[in-house]
This record gives sequence, structure tokens and C-alpha cells, in this order.
Amino acid sequence: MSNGNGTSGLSTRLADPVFRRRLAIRAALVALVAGIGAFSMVVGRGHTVVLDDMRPKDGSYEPVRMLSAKLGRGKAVELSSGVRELVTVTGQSPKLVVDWMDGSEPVSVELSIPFKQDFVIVYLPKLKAGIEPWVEPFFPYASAKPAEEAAPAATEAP
Amino acid sequence: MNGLQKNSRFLRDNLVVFIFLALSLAALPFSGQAGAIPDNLMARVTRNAFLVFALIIPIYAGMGINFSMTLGAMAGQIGLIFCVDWNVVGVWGLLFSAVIGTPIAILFGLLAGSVLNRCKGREMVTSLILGFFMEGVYQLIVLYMFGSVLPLRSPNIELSRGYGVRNILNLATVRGSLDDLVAIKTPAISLGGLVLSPVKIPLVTIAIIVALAFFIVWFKKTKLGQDMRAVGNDMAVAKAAGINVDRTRIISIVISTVLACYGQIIFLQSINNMMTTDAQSQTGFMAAAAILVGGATASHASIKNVLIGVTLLHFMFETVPNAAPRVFGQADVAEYFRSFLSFGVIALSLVLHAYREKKKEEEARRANRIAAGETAAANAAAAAEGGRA
Repeated sequence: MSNGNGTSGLSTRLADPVFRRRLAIRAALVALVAGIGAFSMVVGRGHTVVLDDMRPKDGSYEPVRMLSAKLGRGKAVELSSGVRELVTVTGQSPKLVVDWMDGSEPVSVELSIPFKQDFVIVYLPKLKAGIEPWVEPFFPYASAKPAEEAAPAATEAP
Repeated sequence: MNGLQKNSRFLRDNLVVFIFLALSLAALPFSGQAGAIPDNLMARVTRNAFLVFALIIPIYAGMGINFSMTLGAMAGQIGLIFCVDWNVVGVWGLLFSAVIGTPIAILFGLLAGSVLNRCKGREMVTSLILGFFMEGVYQLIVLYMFGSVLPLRSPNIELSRGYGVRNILNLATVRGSLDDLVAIKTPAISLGGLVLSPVKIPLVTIAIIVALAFFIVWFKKTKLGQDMRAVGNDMAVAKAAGINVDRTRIISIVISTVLACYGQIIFLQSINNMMTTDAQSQTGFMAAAAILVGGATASHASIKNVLIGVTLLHFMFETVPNAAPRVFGQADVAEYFRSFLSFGVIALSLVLHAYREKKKEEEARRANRIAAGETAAANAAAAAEGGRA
């Protein structure tokens, strides 16, 4: 928009050092808040890891009889054959330490979970046998949608 | 002023506090769970105090009790919906919710402030109705825009029709993340026959509340805080002194709304789930009841009022609803008592405030009349003196 002198209103205001300083401070604050939001989202993003020690339908590998797995900073969980366990982790590269409880060397690997992936499944018998891929995306809601829920009833008329 | 007058004035100024204290203490022996009260009270006070602090600044700016703080609560809830949808967990989830909620709260605060500037002198009733109106807008956002205009990732929180958020949102991913960050537990204490159960003290939540109290004390001393005080005392005088009255009032409402946003996030992280469409509906009333129980009025509030009020109101909530079924022999009267007392205290306090204001005006008028009479008498005496001379 132009004023009577032909100079734009914004450029006139931008010439004012106080206005420029205020604008810079506000822009910096907005950037800071957005940065905090982005940082907290990346660092705090939770993923559910399904630790699987089940026999596959095609019988291509054997489940591990007993093992202890520790993911990220969480507590170690013990699994026996035929069991799945859900563990929630934050961040995209949690460390998985598995003790096979049979005298063999424990395995320590770093998972790489895509940021947008909510669930991943870790096939522990495959990890032990060195069969790739032992970690895959997992979609628990792919076939089953949650039960219908009605919208809230209207509140009383005034 | 003699001692009797002083005592009666003190009693009159703190009538609501004394009524509540008397009621709660009378109900205590019948509540049947006196040993658990300290722990429950600590949880309730730390959960609510931040929300109640959000009311101080608008009162300071002469805008009365900001019932439109529910707008800030809605902003916080929208932040939490995004947090659960993106599965941001723990204290990072709360931070993420606050970051999402802040711009929404600022926007809502600007809207509320602009509306309240158009109805000066009737801010409380306007903010109350504005809160009801914005509830409709919020429900439109939550039930229709989420999943259609605003993308939802998680089918877990989406209504099966393909848009809208479920009525109850599970906040397990952020539950207690602030309260449990650094917390200590006192040992159980035995006092005669009474065993007080261990009290969990959420240190981080308390630190945040204390920091907010210090912020309010500091804020009152700033130029903006002094401007708000001037506006609250007399708008015409403040305007004559060169203060931008409308802008100052809007800023006070924006601060209150943003604080209410954070307060609601702190409140909800302490509870496992959120009633998506109406979790905010009681926020304004409960916070108003708490600050009024603490002895605040529509024109004056302090940090002391907040702390006394939150403690007393929740002490009452711990005792009276539990005592009522035992006294009346009916279980369903507990909730009735809870609602009756919380709304009753708002009404009682506002009536007492109006009564006090009227009384003050009468006293001022009487003082003026006496002063005018004395001046007239003095003038007459002086005239008589002059005539004799």
C-alpha cells in the first residue's frame, strides 16, 4: 500500500530502528518456540517396538527358548518362545541389547526407526540366526479399525 | 477504628474463607479417610494451582474474573491432541503440547481481549458467555476439522467415521510425566490413632508453580504491570496519563489465556485421560471458585489468595463429598455437594463483593456528608465571628 508521498507504509516503518529491533526480537522468539517444538517432537517421538519370539507360519526358523532384551533406557524384559512383548522407546535410534541366556555372547545393535513409523517388529530368532531382515515396519491397525464411537450427545438446551 | 470494628471488618473481608474452613472442618470427622487427605490434597493442589494463577493478571487489570480462560484450556487440549496423535511421550510431549498450544492461546486471547474491550464494565458475564460460544467452535474443530482439514495420523484416536477425535483421549504417554520427573515420598506418619498415608511431593510441578508466583510478583513491578494497575484503578485516569488502555487490557487477557493453556496441560498430565469435548468446561468455574474461596474479590487478588483458595477448596472437596453420603445415607449426594458448594461459593463471594462495594460507597458518602457539614458549620461560625467583630 502506498501513502501520499509515494513510499510504502511498511518501508517507512522498516526505516524506524525501534520497529526493526522489535520485529527482529519477535521473529527470533517465534523461531525459538518453533525450534523447541521441533526438537521436542524429534527427541520425544515415541515408537512401539514389538519384540517377537514366535514360531513363523512357514517354520523357516526356530524361536529362542529364553532370552532377555533391553531396549533404550527401559527395563530388561524376559521372553520365552512363542511370546511377543511391546516396548515403547523414544527417539529414532534406540540400542537393543539381547542376552540369549544360553551362554552365547549377548548381541548389542542400534535400531534405526523411521521418524513416521509408529510400530516396528524385531524378530529376535532371525537376529540370532543372522537372517535379514530381522526388523520390519509393523501395522497393527491395518486390518482392524477401532469400534465405532458415537459423537457426544448434545448438551441441554438453554 | 476501635478493636471491635477492626475484628468485624477482618471477619467481613474473610467471610468466605471462614465459611469454607468451618464447613470442611465440620465434615472432616465424617469423611472416613482423614489419613489419605494430605496425599490427595497435595496431588490436587499441585494439579490446579497453575490454572488458578492464570486469573490474577486480569483481576489486576480491572477486568474481574476471566471466565474466558477456558479458551486457553481449549488451546492446551488441542496441543495435547496433537501430542497424542504424534505419540510424543513424556515431558517432551508436554513441551510439544505447550508449543502447539501457545500460538492458539495467543490468538484466542487476542479475540477475547478485543471482545471484552467492547463491553467495558461487564467483562465477567461477557467472558462467561464467550467461553460458552467458543466451546462450540472448539467442538467444531475437534469433532469435524480433525481428520478432515487437520490431518490425524493415529487411527487410535480418530472416530471410525474417518474424522473427529474420540470422546475420551488416553493420555497414558504423558501421564504424570511432570509430577513424576522428580518426586519424593514422605514416610507414613502416625498421629495418635490416625495414620497419615505417605505424601508424594512432585518437586518439578511445585518448582514451576513457585516460578510462576515469582513471575507474577516481578511482572507487577514492570512498566506493563504498573500500567495494568493504573488501568485497573481508573481507566479514564490511565488514559489521561497516556496509557493505551485497550492494548493493556488485551495483553492481560492474552497472558491469562496462555497461562491457562499451560495450566490445563499440567492439570491433564496429572489425570490419565481427557474428555475431548468438555474437559475445559469446568476449568473456569473451578479456578474462579478457588481464588474466591481464598479471599480474592473481582477487583483484588494476590498470590496468597490463590494458595489459600486452592488448598481450602480441595480440602473441602476431599471432606464434604465423602462426608455427605455418610451423613445423609445416600451415595449420590456426594456429587451434588461438590457442585453445590463450588458454584455456591462463586455466588456467595460475588454477592459479598457487591455488598462490600455498596457499603464502601455508603461510607464514603457519609464521610463526605460529615465533612461537608463540618465545613458548613465552620463557615457559619466564621461568619458569626466576623459579624460580631
